[in-house]
Amino acid sequence: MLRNAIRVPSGRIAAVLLGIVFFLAIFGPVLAPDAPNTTVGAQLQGPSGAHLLGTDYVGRDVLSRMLAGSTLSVLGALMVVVIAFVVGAIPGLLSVYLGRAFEWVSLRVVDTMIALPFLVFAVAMTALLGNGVVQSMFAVGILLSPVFFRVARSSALSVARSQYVEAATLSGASTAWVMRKHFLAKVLPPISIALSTTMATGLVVIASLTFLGIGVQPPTATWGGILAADLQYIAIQPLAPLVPVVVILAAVLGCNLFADAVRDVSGEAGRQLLNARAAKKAGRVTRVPRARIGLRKGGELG
Amino acid sequence: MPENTALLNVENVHVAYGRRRGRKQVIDSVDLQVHAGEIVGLIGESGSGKTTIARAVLGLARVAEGEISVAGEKVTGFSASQWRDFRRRGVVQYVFQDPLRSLDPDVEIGDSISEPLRIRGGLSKDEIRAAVCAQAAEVRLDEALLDRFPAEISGGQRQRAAIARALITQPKLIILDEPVSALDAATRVQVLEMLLSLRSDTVGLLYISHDIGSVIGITDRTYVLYRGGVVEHGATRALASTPQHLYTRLLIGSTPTLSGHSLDGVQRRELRAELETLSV
Repeated sequence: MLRNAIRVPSGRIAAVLLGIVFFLAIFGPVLAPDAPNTTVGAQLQGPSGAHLLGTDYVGRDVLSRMLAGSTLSVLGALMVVVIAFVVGAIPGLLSVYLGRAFEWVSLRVVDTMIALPFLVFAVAMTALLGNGVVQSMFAVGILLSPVFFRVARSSALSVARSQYVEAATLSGASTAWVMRKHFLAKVLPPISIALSTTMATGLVVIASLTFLGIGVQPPTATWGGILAADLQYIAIQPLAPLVPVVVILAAVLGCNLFADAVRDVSGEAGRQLLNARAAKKAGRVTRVPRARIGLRKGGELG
Repeated sequence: MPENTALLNVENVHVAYGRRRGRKQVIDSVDLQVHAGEIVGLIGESGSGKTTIARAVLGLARVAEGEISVAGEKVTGFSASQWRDFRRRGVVQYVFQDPLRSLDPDVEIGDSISEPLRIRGGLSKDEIRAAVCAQAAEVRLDEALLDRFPAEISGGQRQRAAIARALITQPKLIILDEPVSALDAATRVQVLEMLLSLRSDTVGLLYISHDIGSVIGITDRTYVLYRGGVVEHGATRALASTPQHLYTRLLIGSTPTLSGHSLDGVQRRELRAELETLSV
């Protein structure tokens, strides 16, 4: 599936963008030219030879802060996704298989979670568990989990009640066989789409929570935190917010394009698309010159 | 042929769906036998319980009362693991009405056909491939189609593939549930001919349908099911020429022929009304 995703243009762009994002997350702190939390120059400077992206409101090097903050930003988003997946997808699958009582309870819990106001819940979580990175990730992850619950449940439902699963059962297939041979191919595409869109949401939500002072505490650098600080001084340095905005956008775009690519190449339609592309490449396409099929009143079409 | 050698022996079987007040008796004291080398028809209108009987034989519907044995084994009262072992041996196979739904859309036709063998295990990839090719040839399915997906082949080809999947375990009993009703007339005849060519001394076929035409065309004996009970059974020819029960008469009289129905609308309505008073 992943190999197929790279065969469409959106998948290639996504691969490049996500590659850059993960590269930054891993090597960013090492590449930072200055220490991220020390004042190295005048305040709110524009880009210059010494500070490629300028300095912030206390005179710290923006490039270093962006690079140093990338690990925490990306890791945070990943953690949100993992928590949302575990809290959402697994009960979603089980709700189909574990019987009516579990189904009823889990559905009601998910309905309740969808109704919770996002920020209030995050603030309440931090008030309850203390303000910290991990706590805020948990809050966001739990709040995003209904997405996974729904996706996992709906795909599990459609497969579990299908005749081909019944046919396999009639040949003596075990539950593990049905899961492996029939279930995964149906569930993986929607789940991986949910994964990448949630990753994008996670990036944005963490950025906005940092903006509100929940989660990551200053002076620790994150993309969202830098954006928040830049916006306060927008009157003096109007272009400064562009730096974190472009990076966050690129990461979000990468995730969304990846989700698009997976959706495009999976299932029936995906196979046709890939076949058509392969045929076009090999020059095996013959265009039908404008076929017209019409049916007149009182006529017959055979 | 003595009765205890029957491939399929359904004795006084009752099946009910639902519990307590919602309980509904769908199969009421049905007796039915299929012997080796025979093609037996099971005919009835929608909701008469045809498919439920098949599901009871396959262990998908709970038998409330009575006994079912397949190839000499009493299957009523099997535990889940006994059912799994029994199914893996492939003694009885089932062909669904709609092959588009009974074949996984994301699995190649060849892999769908070989699935029962792969579930059972113990064969190499080459042996499985050879078995699939041989089976495809037997149901007259082009070998080139084995790498395609269900949506990429025609309805008749799909049903051949579904039948090939049922045959690959060399079953003794094959239950076909409306195998041709999703097909157009020309394809239907081809598939029916193919089914007739499967007739052998060791295999029994239970052919379930609401279409009296195809039942008369291929079966030796026929059971007529009405509201969960067998109302008439016997040699298909005799049944078609001299139906005894009211419902059988109505069924045969309602078959459209080129010269119109053998019973006209008034006669059919009268028969239906008489049937209603009978079954109350």
